[in-house]
Amino acid sequence: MRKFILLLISILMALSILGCSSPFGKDTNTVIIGGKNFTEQDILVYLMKGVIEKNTNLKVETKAYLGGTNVVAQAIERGDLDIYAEYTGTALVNILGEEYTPPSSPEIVYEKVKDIYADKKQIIWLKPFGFNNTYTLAMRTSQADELSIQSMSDLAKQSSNLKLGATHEFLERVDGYSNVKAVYDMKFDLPAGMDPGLTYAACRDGNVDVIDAFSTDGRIIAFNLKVLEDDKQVFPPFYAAPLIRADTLKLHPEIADALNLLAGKINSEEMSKLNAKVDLDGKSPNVVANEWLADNGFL
Amino acid sequence: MLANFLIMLQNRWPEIMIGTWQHIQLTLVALLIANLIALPLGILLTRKRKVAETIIGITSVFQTIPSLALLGFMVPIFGIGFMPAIIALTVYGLLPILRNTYTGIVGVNQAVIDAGTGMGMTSRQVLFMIELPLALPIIMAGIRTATVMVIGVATLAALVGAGGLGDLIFRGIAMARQDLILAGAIPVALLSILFDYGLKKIELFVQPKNQ
Amino acid sequence: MIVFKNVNKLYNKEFHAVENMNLHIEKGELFALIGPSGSGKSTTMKMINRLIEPTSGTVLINHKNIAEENPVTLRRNIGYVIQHIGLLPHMTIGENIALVPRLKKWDKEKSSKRVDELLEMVGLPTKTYRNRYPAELSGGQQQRIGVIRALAGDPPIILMDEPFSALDPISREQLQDDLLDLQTKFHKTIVFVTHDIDEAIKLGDRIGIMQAGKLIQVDTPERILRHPINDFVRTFIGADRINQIEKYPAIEEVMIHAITIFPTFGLAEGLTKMRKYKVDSLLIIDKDKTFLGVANAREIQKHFSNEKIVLSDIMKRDVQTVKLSQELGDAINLISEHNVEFLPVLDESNHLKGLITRASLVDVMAEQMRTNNNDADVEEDK
Repeated sequence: MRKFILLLISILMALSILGCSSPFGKDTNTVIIGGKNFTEQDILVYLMKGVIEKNTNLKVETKAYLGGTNVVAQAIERGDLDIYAEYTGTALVNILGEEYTPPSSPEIVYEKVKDIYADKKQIIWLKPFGFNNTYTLAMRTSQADELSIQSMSDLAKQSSNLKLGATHEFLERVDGYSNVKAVYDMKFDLPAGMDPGLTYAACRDGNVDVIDAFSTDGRIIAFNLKVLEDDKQVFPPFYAAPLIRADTLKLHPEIADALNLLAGKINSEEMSKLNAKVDLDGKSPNVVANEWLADNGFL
Repeated sequence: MLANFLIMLQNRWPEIMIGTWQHIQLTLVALLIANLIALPLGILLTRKRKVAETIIGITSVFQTIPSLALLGFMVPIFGIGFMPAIIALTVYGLLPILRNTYTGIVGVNQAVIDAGTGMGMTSRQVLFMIELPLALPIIMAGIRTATVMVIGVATLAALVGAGGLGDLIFRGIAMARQDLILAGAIPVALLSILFDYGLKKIELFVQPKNQ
Repeated sequence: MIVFKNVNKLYNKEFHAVENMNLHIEKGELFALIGPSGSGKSTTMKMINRLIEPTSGTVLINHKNIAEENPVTLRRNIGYVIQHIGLLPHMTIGENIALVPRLKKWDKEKSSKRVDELLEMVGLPTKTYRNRYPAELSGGQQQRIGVIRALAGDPPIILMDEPFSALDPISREQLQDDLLDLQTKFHKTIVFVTHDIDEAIKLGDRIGIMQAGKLIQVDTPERILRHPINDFVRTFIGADRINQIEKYPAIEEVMIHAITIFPTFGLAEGLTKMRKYKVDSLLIIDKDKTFLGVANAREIQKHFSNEKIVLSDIMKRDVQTVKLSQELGDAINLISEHNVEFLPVLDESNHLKGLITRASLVDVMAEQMRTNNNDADVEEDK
């Protein structure tokens, strides 16, 4: 048993050494794709890897589940990564520190971050995948139908009778609950703060009526929840798109063509389903990504 | 720096007050239930010593479950909100009170109990006139331990939507804002000290005066 | 007052802690129950206040079967003093003494008066001691409180379970004296368990000796000392009173050399020998030292004019003798019963070995008393 464990450890070590890029400069025929530490990003890493390897002669190295936004954003600027997927809203507010001023549109935000990135960071935004993983409010579909609630404006009118449960982050963010409350004039009683892992189930089980949600979370479909329309565009759009370092793109312009094949191909519902396959069905992100690519004729 | 902190405190004052009040509620309700269960159970176990070790063993097992996990177990059963938090906190507060009640009473000098019984005390009188007064310092120590523990663990109640001062702390963690974490943590520490001090005062007041 | 009728106590269906106990304890007597540890004396006592229930048989108090009484009421009317003082450490001396009155729901004034009365009685001034806590008192004082606490409810019966065994010898003596004092005042029926035979003898009106669950002998201390019923009792009472009554030295050690003469000698020869050794009797033996009789001076004087007779003609043949194998105590008894001055000591085949005289016994007794007194001194020095 101990021998086996030692063997295992040495194999893992060997693999990790092999897996690391050479410290003496990058192999120009290899590109590195990174991802943040949540499911959707994992799936995106393998989707991007799939189309690049299929349509170019380049080799792809992946660094999935690397860390939070800051970690990944710094990694690409330093050149440790060539490619990763970012969200327009996150880039605007969290990375660039710009203010989001509603009302606005996805296109305006996209163009804005694209310009600033190209200008200041020499990082190029390719075309968005098509889904918007935004902050949103969700409630049970049955209750929403019963109360005829489609949008957040509808919700505001009946909010005094409903219970809000939300993550502590959402409750605290300036662009989170306080903004929503002000713009829509929400009249919830004391919101219940809770662990991000609990909100969806708490809503499903009726412990709370309204939750903050990410629009592409797999549990929205699985738990039969309804995403409410942000009719006053309080939340910035969080359209995901591949980012690539300008120098890498210059060396391998074919990457842009390959990645743009995915542009507009994955809508929010589609992304939710893919997330659900990983989070709820327990499949591996790699497998889910390759299945989707195969099913949709990319391989 | 300090000025910023004070301004934040001023802005957050209503939230801190609500959080503190919720925290006290959680703590008191959980402790009340824990006492209502553990004190009689502890006394009962001194009358059924064969099963005592087993029962106390079971409660110790509860104690070894990390508080966060214990809270997690409650959610599928009791959902979220006040209820699962109270139950988890109660379970957590049970052991120190139960164990100290049992060991406190068992530790009372048998000669004194014999004397009492021999003089014609009913077993109820032996309990209330001899065993409980003499075991009181140990029982109170158990209650104090439980109280301080429950006040600490109650911060986690914020994870299951039960509010309390943990709410501020978790908001602070989510936003990486130290000042917010402090705004929750300091009142928690103050509550612990205050409750411990109050219980100590009560203990001195009711304690038998045999130096 | 207290009657045990065929009382048995079995533990685990096999260990006979008390076996077929029949006992009648009289009203007003101090009855000492004594025995080695594990002999069942405490068990016996605890069956009186039902701290222990008999397996079979009945215990009666004033002709009433106590098994039919409420144990709590029963106990409130039986004072109880235990070995480990058993004062409640969280109550003042006053509260401790007033405990049974409180349980019996006496009114406050009455029990308060009772407390003062009892404290004064044992020489602990109320003012000083009433509001103190037990831990502030010495062991002796604490047990004094223990005793008067048992008296507080004015119970007709008091049970004392080795109450003084943990005390130092001086406090023990004092408390024993106090108890005797109290007893002459109150005439309670007291059952006193002890393993100390001296204590039992000092305090007990009667003593009950127990061994392995059985009551072996019940009698007054005097009669038990004089007439131990068997070896167990003998060693039990002896164990603590070495040399006092039974353990005399052997006859051999006490006897003196006898002045002897052969029966064929004439009277004048006899008289000469008497003068020479300053004795008034001669023991007459034959050649192989077989004892024949005694010739005393008076007889020799009476027949001295008759020159033809020899000592064997005038010697007294019917003489009280003692065998070497007998106890010295027997010798003492023989001397006093037959009012003789001396006893010839013979072996099994009537050979003369020596002589015990009243004078030699006095020496032994004197020696005995001296050593006993020395022992007592040592005891007190401890």
